[in-house]
Amino acid sequence: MNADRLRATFPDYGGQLRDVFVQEARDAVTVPASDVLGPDLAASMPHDLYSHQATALDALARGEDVCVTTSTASGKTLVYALEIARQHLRDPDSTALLLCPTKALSRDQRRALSELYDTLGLDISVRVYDGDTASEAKRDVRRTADVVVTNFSGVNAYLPQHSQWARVFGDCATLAIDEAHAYSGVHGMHVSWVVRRLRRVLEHYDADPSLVLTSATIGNPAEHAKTLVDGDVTVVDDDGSPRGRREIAFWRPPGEGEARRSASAEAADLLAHLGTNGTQTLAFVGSRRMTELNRERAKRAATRHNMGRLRIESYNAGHTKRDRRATERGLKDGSLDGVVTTSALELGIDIGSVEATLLSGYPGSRQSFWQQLGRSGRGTGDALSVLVGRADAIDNYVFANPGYVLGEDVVEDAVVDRSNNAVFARHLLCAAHELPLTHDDERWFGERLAPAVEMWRKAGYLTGTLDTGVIYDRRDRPQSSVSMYASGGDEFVIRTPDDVDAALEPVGRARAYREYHPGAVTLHRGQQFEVVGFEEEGHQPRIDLEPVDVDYYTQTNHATRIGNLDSERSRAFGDYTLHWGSADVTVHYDTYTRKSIATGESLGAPQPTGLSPLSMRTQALWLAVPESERARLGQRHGVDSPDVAFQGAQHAAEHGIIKLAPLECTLDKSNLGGLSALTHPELDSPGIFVYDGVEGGLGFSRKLYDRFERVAANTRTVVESCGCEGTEGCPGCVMDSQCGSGNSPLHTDGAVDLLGTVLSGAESVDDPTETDD
Amino acid sequence: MPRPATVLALPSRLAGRLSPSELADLHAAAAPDAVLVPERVYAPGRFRPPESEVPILTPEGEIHAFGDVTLGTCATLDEVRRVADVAREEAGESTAYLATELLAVETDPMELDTRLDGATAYREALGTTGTDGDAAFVHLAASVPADYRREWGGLDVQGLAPVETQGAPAAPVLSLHADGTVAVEEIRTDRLGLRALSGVGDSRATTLARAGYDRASLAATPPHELATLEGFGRASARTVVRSAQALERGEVLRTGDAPLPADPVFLDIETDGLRPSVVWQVGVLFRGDYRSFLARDPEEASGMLGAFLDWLAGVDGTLVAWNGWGFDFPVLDDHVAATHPDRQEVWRQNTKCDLLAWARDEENAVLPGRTNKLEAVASALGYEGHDTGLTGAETARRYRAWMDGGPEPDWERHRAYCEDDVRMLAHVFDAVAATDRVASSIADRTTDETGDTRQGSLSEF
Repeated sequence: MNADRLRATFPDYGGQLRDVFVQEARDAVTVPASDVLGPDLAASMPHDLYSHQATALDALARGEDVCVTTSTASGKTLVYALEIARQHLRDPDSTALLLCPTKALSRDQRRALSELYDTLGLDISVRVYDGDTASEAKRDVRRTADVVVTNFSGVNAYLPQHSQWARVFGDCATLAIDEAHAYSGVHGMHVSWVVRRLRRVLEHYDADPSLVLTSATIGNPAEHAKTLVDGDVTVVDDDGSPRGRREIAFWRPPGEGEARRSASAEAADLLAHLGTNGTQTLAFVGSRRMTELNRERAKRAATRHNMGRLRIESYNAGHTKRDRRATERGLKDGSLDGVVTTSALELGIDIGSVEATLLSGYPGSRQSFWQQLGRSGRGTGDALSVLVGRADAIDNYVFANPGYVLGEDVVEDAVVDRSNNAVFARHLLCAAHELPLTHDDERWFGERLAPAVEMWRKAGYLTGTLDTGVIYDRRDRPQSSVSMYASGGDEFVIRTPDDVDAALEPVGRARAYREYHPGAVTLHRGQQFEVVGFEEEGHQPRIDLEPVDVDYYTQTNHATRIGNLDSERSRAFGDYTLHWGSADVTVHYDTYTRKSIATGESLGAPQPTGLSPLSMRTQALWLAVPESERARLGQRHGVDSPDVAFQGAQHAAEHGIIKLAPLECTLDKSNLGGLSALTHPELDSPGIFVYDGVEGGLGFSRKLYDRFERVAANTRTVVESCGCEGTEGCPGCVMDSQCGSGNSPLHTDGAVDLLGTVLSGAESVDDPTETDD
Repeated sequence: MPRPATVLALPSRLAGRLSPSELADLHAAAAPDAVLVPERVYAPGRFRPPESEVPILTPEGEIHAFGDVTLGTCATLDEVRRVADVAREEAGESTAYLATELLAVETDPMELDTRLDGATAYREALGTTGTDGDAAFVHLAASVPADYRREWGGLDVQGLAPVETQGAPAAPVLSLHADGTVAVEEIRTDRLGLRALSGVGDSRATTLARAGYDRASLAATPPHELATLEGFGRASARTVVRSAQALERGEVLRTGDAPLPADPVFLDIETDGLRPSVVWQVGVLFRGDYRSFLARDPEEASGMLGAFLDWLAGVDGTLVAWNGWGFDFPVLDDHVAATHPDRQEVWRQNTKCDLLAWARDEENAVLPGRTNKLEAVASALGYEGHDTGLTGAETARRYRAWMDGGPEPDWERHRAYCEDDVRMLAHVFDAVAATDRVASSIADRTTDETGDTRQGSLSEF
């Protein structure tokens, strides 16, 4: 199937296909295996190596550490797989550690490596060791495995028992980090310190393994790898793998304005059409719920259009391992025509070759966009990718400016902040718990070692001196207070009646409130369930589901509030006042709406969920905006509806500040949250709030407070000089894919005016752009 | 040795969570001279059992004396001024204790800084004459966890707040000595009343209490009667009743067949902390002969361990330690590996037995004692040790201080502490070994046979 045929055959075609872009095929560049590998290994290799694999293996042979960053399905795994094989032939006792970002991927990579070593006739045992490994098996893995596949949360937890790992650590010749681009933002911060702690313990056992990182295409592979592993790595990015011809179709659902058909409904029809026409398709959607919903919609569409039998399945992290494995197998062996998935299948789970990918809306980052597209067309077969546009501002922008996603060198950087003292100090405690700290550890922890040790000594957590060894001095394990994913909280188990064959994975608290409140109707692999029990008290929070058969699904509505402001610092900017301190951010999933499965229309008035708000105490900065400015900005930028224009100005300024925050502190903008209030009861005036999206805060908003002049000036410059038309902005300036209010209202001129006024009130404006204006 | 003052620190938010029977249990376990409540109190009955007249001390600017120990409580700087003056006179040359809410340890990880908030004003109010013989103070800070002790520019700060242990708060019991030594014992509040029994958590405790059981009545209840309650099966009912019997009667109950080692080598080690950088004392008791291996200097620790291994090579017995697999054995394993890698294999081949794990995890016996701590079990079995005023944490702290240039520890006291622990272990072991599978009371066993205070040979390094 290609774009032309899709246009010709799609039922009810009405001009949806807006653009087709073509990526031409590329031939493979290969190197004979014998040029790179020793004769034993080369002889058993069934094929040549791609040039990038050869380059990486040569660099490793020279003793360099490498980061391989080439396209999806270009055989990055083979680099560390062969390095491990080489080390094994050199020393049969040698071991390797492979770190994967998800447990699912760990199992997939274990299979891939085991199959390869079978092919090569090598007796290398590859075992997974993580939270799902049976406790009986763990000891055996530690004693006998040659390659241990695990994840960084696991390493954080296992490091204190390093003596049990003495064999694996002591003989470790290869440390491989798969999908390294996944370690960005707060998670990346934690991982970068876990890597240092791991390398420190490896060194204690006299191991100095070579490092192999693999990464999807990111803007800053060398810098990212260096930050992550604390050392220079050789970047290998000259892709030698072949590629088929790929068509990227931009597809607009029919209708105009409010009447425009939803992208997900349209994507379901496309999935049904492609799937029943023999084109195996992977359809990406934005939420777990949507995977279930679109599975049903596509089936109905196939029936409606008499397309024939459509064999599809949903896929998301809420499904059990067994169910997910079955779906992956179905894709591989061709017994499924299609799968509707969340980004869970964006990472390198092996699903064989899919002919088409469908994106239900722009996924929010160019990196995800390319990852998802790349899941179709493995090998040299032609591939089709369809981006179905949503009726929102960002998708509109992408359709009008395809160069934004298709241009050269446009992929985002992965950002990891090692300067954050709070996270650093937490991992230093762990390190002291693992092995006594001495002056030598400056090598891993830098100049902050001594002051941080002194802080923890005074606080009663550490004891001893760096001369004789600093040890951890409390009973609890510091590792358990490391929240690797910045999303702590209790897990809810989900129970279904015994006679129902359905198993759901536990969910975190936020998701439980959002998707499993009492009365919620949820789909799971084609079966509808209603939440009939929601028990939060007690040892194990739980949710009870009952099967139902209704023609609607539910959607939760929420309100975000910020309050209990406790200002610790403040500065005046003319009549504006900037504060930094702590605040409660409260998300209340207060009501839900029933929506028709067929049409997506609301059925009746919103119903109360009966749940209390979810609250988090964190750090925030807030700009108190004087009432006089509300009147002035409103009148000046929106004569008909001054408050809308004013709110648009505040909202756009807030988005702009958050979007440009990564320039000031290394963070992922998703680690910040924001809110603009027309009247905030505690300020008794309008206000703009930017807060750390992590319980307790991590100092992001503090840095923005300290450097507010620069942040405000940068934001004003970017918004003012953006080439977008009108005053609603674009993803390049103030639109944000994570905005809770659909990027409305936004007013760029108002934001420039507001920020300019704030800056004119600053005592001295330090213009970061160093230009006269 | 002068008698210390035993103080139970019980903030009202913790007291409010205890049922009357749990409160009574806590008092029975702590046997305090006083209850220290770090806030104003309107209903003292919430802090002590109805029949008890233990004084409830609240921050009201008063001075109390318990034996040789002077303890003041103060909520304001004025009270600090007044109480400090009086305490100086009363305490004479010994240390006086001041309980206060005015000092707080605040950590700011963003700035990599820890401060003692309130210190400046407090220091000023305290005043110091600076003359010789001026009383020393230890300041009991209400907001600081009880396992905290540190000197802050002349202010000796000891914590008083409950410490969380595995998610449950533990009530601190502080033994305040006149020489400034504070030994802290923590009593987990989720191990009081019915919850002290094996197999009884929150929900079973509620079920049992609703059905009208307490520990004493459970000890006399046939297990099949409990098996009808919700959440109980036959096995769990038997465990609960046995545990109640053990606890109420001070008995060991054998529940499994696994034999105990025939020729035990009782062992205890002293280190510089829970994740130690050094093992500086090893105490062993073999066929009635106690031996201590001690490294006064951390540099000698390797030689000390070598001598211990030499001695062990000449002994044909099984090493027995309390919670040995949780601490002593893996710690020794790590340190043998680090200092004598060539002897690790021999060390590993030595047979080892963790008496606690043998009883509790392998279900060979139900032990009396409110907790699984050796002290609690041994004391329930009638052991009377020698109060050295030390705890494991305190010995570790003093050794660390010595390593870091502080005062030289009283080695004899540390040696006696380690020996007492080893003999305690032997006492429990003998009590278990003397019990066959039919329950037999040992509450009235004499303790003479293990009350040997003979000095063991002391090897030094």
